[in-house]
Amino acid sequence: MSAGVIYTASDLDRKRREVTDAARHGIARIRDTDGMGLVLLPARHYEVLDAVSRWHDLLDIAERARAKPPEERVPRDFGDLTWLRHFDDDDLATFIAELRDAVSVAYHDDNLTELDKLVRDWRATAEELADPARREVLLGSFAAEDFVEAGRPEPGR
Amino acid sequence: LTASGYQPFRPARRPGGRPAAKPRYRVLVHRKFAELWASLPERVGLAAAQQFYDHVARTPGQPATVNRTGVLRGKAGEPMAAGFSRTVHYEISGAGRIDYQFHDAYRGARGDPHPVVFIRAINLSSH
Repeated sequence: MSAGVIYTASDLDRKRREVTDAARHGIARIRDTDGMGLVLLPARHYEVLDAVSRWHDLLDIAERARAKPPEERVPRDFGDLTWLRHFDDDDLATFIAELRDAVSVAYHDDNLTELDKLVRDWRATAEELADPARREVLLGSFAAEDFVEAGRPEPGR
Repeated sequence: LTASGYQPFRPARRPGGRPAAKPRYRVLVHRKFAELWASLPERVGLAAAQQFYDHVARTPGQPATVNRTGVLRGKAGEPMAAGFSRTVHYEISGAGRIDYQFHDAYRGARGDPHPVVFIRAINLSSH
């Protein structure tokens, strides 16, 4: 099967195995009875394409939010990523740069594993910084005297 | 050895269950979260609390065998000083999180380099 083959809708019956094999190897192009072009892809590849395009859009929104002065930003400036409001400008810039790299790797490797992990870590970071006490410690400087002994948890202790 | 096997200067055995291996890392917690640390067994369960302790006391730099770990990103994840790890984010329960850094040869007031885990933050907000 060459990449240039365009199957007809009736080929889905007559050449089902050939069509699905073409899809499994990348893409199967099909022309429906009214002339509309359709494609059949491996689900994993479709999920990567969907995530990559969605993240391009989300990162553009994050870029626009970051371009606004911090005091003028509101949560909805971040679109679906309202949790980004917990980051300062430096962390926002790091987030956008790291995500753009990860999106590129996901697209070229056809694999979302690292992208998903990176997003999970950033989201967890935002949740930790949402609380003032945790934020103060996590972003503050280190002072050994602030730490006390932590014993192994025991019943009733 | 005396005939009875009695050894007056040998400490008594620790009562209750004991960890499988001797802890390697000293474990410290930020004083702002010391109370939460003390309440950990009742908040997340004794088994989960001990699993966390045993993990950080022995292998804080490895993925946890039971629960999920990640690293905090951005400035919150940066090492506190030279020699420290990045901030590890440990999911101790469905909604419980603990953030820590470790140092394999920390020179504190003791002067001698020793391995230490610093628990920086505890988040049990959804419990």
